[in-house]
Amino acid sequence: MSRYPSPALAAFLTLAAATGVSAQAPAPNLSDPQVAHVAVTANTIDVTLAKYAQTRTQNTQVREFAATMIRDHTAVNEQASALAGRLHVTPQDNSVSQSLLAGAAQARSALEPFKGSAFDRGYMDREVAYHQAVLDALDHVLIPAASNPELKQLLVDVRPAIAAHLEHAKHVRSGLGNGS
Amino acid sequence: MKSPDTRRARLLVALLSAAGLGLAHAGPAPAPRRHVVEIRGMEFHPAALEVAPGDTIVWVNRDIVPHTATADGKNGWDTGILTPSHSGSIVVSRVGGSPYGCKLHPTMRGGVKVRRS
Ligand SMILES: [Cu+2]
Repeated sequence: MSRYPSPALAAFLTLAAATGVSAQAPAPNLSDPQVAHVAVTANTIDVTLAKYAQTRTQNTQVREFAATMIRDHTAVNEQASALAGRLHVTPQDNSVSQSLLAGAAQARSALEPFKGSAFDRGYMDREVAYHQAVLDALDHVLIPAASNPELKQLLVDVRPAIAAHLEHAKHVRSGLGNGS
Repeated sequence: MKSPDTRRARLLVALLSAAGLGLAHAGPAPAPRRHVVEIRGMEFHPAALEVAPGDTIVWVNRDIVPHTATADGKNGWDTGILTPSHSGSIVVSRVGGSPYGCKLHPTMRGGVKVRRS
């Protein structure tokens, strides 16, 4: 690994790595509308993949994990939308959102060929990596970039949920073993 | 959920009891208490609670995601899903108590100890 010039850039590259997109661009200085867009996109991506996983898994723990992802990330997005409305902030598309979406599409197609426990392991591996990347992005990119105090507070409030999801994902993943 | 009427009745009993107005108890029964557990930052605050039979425990969800407070084991108490800024409660029935958690988030743990006061 080469040395990164800043923690923010390192986090952005981690995010890009976890989402399967190679990053040439430095960590962008995001505006509040862009931060809001990244946050909503990150939540939507996890809801979408969880809905897909529910159509593919037979495992109770994986199914329950996916249900929690749908419930929680939907709830966070409802709050984010309400806040954006109140602040008259229109979320604005940007390169970080784009790289998240590209990584999500890649993760989804990488999972498609797998069945049964191999699918479960793949999905949970992705969820561990994704939540770690989102946590890093919150700490090093999104929270520092947010300038409106309410937007910043929402991101700060979201953090413990993401951290709990990460532990939950690790726990489910370790219960799945490594296959034969 | 305890209704306001039940709460008022209990309060009345407690007041009468405190005033010594002809209740059948040998000693004055302690007034049932109301304990509030806040759920925030994916944790129960306080996580450990000591209560007496007849007390009420209220869980208030101050988080931005839904939670439950659910006793371990098959036939324990359960608040059901508490959406953000909603609360749920139980009336403690018997001595003992239980570790509990959130059914939706296995990392969230708490405990209730029930002893006669
Ligand atoms: Cu919970």
